[in-house]
Amino acid sequence: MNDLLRDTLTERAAATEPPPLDLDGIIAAGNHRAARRRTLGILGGAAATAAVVAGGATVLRPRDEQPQPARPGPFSQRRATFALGNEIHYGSEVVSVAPHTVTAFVQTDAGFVFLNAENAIHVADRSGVRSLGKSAWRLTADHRGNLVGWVESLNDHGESVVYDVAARRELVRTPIGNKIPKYASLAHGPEIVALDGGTAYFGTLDGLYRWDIRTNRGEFMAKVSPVAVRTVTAGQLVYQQPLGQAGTGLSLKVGPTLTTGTRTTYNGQQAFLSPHATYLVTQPDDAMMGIQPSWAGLQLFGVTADRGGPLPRPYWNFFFGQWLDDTNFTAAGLRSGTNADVVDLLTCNASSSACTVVAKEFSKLTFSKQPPRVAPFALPTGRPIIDRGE
Amino acid sequence: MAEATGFAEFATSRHGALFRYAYLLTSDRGLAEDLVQEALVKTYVGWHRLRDPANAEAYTRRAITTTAIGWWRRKSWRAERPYDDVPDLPVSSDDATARVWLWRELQKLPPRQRAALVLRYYEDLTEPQTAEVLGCSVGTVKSQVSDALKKLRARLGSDVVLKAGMTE
Repeated sequence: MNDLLRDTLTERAAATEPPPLDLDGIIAAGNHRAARRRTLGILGGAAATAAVVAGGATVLRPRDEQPQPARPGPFSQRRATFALGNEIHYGSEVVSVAPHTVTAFVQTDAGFVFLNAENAIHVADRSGVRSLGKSAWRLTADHRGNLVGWVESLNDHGESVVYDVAARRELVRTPIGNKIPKYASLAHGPEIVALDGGTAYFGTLDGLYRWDIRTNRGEFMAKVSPVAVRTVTAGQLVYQQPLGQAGTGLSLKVGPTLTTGTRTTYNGQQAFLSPHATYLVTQPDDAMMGIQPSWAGLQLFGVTADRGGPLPRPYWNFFFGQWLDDTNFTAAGLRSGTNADVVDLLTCNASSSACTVVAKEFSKLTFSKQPPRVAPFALPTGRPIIDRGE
Repeated sequence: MAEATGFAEFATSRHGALFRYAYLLTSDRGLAEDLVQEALVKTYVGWHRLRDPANAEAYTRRAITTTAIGWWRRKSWRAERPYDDVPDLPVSSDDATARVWLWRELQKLPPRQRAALVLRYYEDLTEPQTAEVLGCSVGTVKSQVSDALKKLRARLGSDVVLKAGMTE
């Protein structure tokens, strides 16, 4: 028994890779705690001693608490934002991430989370860039808040992760549903479908899980493909039709469950639901494959309100950016005519369908000849714009 | 500044070992990370009181243990740790069944007993050293280890031990 015990413990320990050491965070927390003790020590008395004990617990938040920022984060405002090379243009402000090149990114209230050319995850804010020591293919964030999610691919399984950018710590890490079968050829890898308030939706190999971030517990929702549900916002799921299809279906429905809700069917494959689920923007999986009509690469629908109409035709294609609020969103518009590869950054009003150029000719839609054929710019969707054409 | 440098050297060099110890206590990567971070903050705050930096590891290990036991008492640990059964790296197949069973049974032990087993059989500490980390007497360590092994034998049965080809 003793040898078996020793072997078991040794094996488990050896199979566990330590996370990166956040030395700066530890020293900062230690200094904060020491300063707090000094301050309270001056006050003296039993009450102060009790406060130290209580205060000590506040530096590192217990796991079952949801992060509640005391004041708005430094990037809580959503502005027209894009990444170009090693810069993230946040409205008129430029956040440098040099020497990295941004291939995909999302915005949180605490900072931008991006993937570099090696798919390594980094956080950028006004104080600089820090590596999380992890890698992923895609990032997922909520419309608001400090959380970001991704799936880490390991040898025989994937792990769904939810990370708090402000607190600099993982809130959820679970391999549930993502055991990779031997000799499997997967049509779609696991994804973090959405972060919706205190709930995460994991598109796993086994099916869809709904995960309560606060309690770190989840429930299995449906045995569907990892990408059958495209996104979840304000409790409304956008899911494909037919739901059980292994590949991405060509139309979408919206509802609070996978069997209820509006009977309206929306064309499109990628889905971007406004923060209050009022409007839905959809996009084909590959907008550069001659979708007809060609200008309708991005479509706008009203879910609970009337949309203004089709998007303007001077642009023959669009790439969705992000919702700025429940009515306005950003998109990159690809011009038609002689400058067919030039893109403008637009803000569009879903109510009126009117678009305004906010960054004229900010980039070009050109791809390198070497894989990965990623566009020179990125929008805050968490995914790179890739030319998959041969 | 010298304190911070000394602490940084200690934390950088021992972080991996401390994390693995915390993981064996909790069987949850997230909790282990939290435990190590919390313990290292405590060590940093108390660094100037550690007359010999060689004591830092024992101090941190004790902080990890007592913090883990405290969390367990507040039930926050038991309430949120069901999903961390898959190791980062593949394990070899021989005796795998017995080890998987044992690992699961270890998770059911009370935290002090589990900590005592980890300190004795993974960290290879002596009984007095284990007692120091746990903050108890040597006699208590003996009884904790004895009770834990008795429970494991009862739960696993003699078959598993025989299959694994292990001896006392």
